[in-house]
Amino acid sequence: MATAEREITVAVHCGVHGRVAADLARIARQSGTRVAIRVGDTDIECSSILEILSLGLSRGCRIRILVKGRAPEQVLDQVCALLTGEES
Amino acid sequence: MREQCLKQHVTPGEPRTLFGIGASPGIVVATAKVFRRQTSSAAWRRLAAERIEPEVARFMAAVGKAEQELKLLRGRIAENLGDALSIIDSHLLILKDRMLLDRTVEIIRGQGINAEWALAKALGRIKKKFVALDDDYIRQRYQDVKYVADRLFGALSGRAEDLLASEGELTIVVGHDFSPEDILAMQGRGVLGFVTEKGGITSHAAIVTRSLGLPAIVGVKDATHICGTGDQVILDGFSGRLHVNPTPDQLKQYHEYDRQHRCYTRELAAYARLVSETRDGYRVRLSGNIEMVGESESVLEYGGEGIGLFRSEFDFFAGRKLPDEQTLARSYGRLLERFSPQTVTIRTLDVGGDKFTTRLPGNPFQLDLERNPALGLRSIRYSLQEKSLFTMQLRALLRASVKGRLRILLPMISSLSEVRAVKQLVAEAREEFEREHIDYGSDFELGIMIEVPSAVVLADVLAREVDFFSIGTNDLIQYSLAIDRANQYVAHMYEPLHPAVLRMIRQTVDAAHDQGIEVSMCGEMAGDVVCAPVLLGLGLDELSMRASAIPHVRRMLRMSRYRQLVALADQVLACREAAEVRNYLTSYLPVHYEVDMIGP
Repeated sequence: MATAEREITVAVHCGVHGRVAADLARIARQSGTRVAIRVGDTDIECSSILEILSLGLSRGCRIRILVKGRAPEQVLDQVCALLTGEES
Repeated sequence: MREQCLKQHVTPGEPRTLFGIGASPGIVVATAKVFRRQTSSAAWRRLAAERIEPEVARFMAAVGKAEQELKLLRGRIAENLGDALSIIDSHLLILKDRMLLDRTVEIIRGQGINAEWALAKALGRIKKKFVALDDDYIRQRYQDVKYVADRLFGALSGRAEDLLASEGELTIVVGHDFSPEDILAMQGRGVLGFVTEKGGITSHAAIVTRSLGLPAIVGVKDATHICGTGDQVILDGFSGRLHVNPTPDQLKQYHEYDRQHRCYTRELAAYARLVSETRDGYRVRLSGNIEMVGESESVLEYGGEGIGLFRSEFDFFAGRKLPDEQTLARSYGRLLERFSPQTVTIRTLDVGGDKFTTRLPGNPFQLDLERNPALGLRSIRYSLQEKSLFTMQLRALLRASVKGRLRILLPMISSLSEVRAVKQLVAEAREEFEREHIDYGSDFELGIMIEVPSAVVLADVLAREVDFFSIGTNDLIQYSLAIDRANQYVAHMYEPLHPAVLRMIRQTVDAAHDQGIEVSMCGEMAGDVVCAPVLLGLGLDELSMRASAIPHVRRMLRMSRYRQLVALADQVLACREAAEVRNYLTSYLPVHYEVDMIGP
């Protein structure tokens, strides 16, 4: 199983709140890959919007995104774009 | 909401009148349906082994039902209500989230307890995680989890269907507070009106009911305790009165008001097409307030002479990204074209205060954390901080101004330096256009809102610098009387006819006319038929109001003589307190205008 990971700084204004968390959960569910966020030594699964929200990721947080599955790079790019506020 | 429907009377059957704030006009008589906040909990039971799987099935059925409800609601909301849709979408995700769903099932199976108890336990764990968060905004998202859980509790108890099952039965819904979602879900299901204990005239409940055209009263203290399900009630959205168990006389009277109101509405349609002038030929401009370009048709339909206030915020909040200059210029241009040769007044971004705080895409300021937002970084102050955003809007306005007669209105001006700072930005924008060879208009007008007391005091100074004034009464009253009208404890002290307010209006008009510039008024007061004669007598050149009020004010104007309006204003200015003003008007108006003009 291919994996890809990247460390990023959360740049969305107001942090990872309702809509961003919902979009992230949706990407994780629909991509067919396993998307996780690592903060410190905690890993959470992004298919759960509540786990994402309960991390309380504010703007400026350093996190690591891990994607496992087919074509992980593509999903990783999508997730990073969302959390750095670069998505369209 | 998901509140329990209870029947509780303080004194059953006794007529009572409760007072609140008329948030959405209209009178309706129907049976009350009272929703009280859920305080009691379902029975918590331990389950025998053979009851465990059926309990899991019952829980899953409740999840299915809640999902169906949300999807049904989602389907009924117009696609253009982007915010409402994305709220419901995230609620659907929460509903199926494993921290809620899988965890509850685990607890039912592992601990052998009923679904309600298990759900409460799962919820408790989620709450613990959220409460520990540093980020205020994300912490508040727990409210969404709570909302979904309440829906599930409702589905489990079967009570959630109360609302939907009431189809066909005409009711007035009374509750502590309703979210926009609740109101959207209930409308069209036999609900004739809404009453809430919480909230002011700018609350979500007030705004949504007004846009749906359903009468509503907000800020009615203890309504859910005094009024019981099944009580007959009269909801008077004009005066903010709620009559519980009305006497036969009251009922007769209100049915008559209702009848008159309906006849009167038909008669008013004729006024949409008449000129705005008094019997002796004194003319003023009656124009419309709008928030979205789409509302301009209703302004034209009601005979509005231009737009006196276009609140430009929605373009900035509608999407997930800020609009670009091109898009804004096109949208403003269309509006100007539609109304040309009449004027269109576009107010620049008015964020902060009690509205539009956290949601502005790319907003770096923590406006929602301000201790006192009404006195904080709002409106023009925000725009002058966020210069690139503000300049973008100014450029869009300048480009659009070739399409018609544009008035640019700056909100919340409290000193001359702000006006000069904006003028500097406008000058810079023009230079850039010249360099870039971009077409832009140069015969627009630049004016300011008079809504801060310091601007009234300095009106003579400011009048020399700008092309027009527009008095924003909502904020002017709030700032001068120090009343937050969304605050249920002091809302009743919010008084447009306070002598101090009337004197400030007079002072502003005089200062403007001395410099030969126009004064408009765009607050709610302008569309109030009781206040309008006084305002016209005070010399306002334009009254801008919600479209449906235009024919009412025009009818009043056409029944007046200019000299009589001036005399009225002088009389009223001599009053020492608001009650005196109101007393004077209630004896004066029926004599000079037909009684029914004032409404019930």
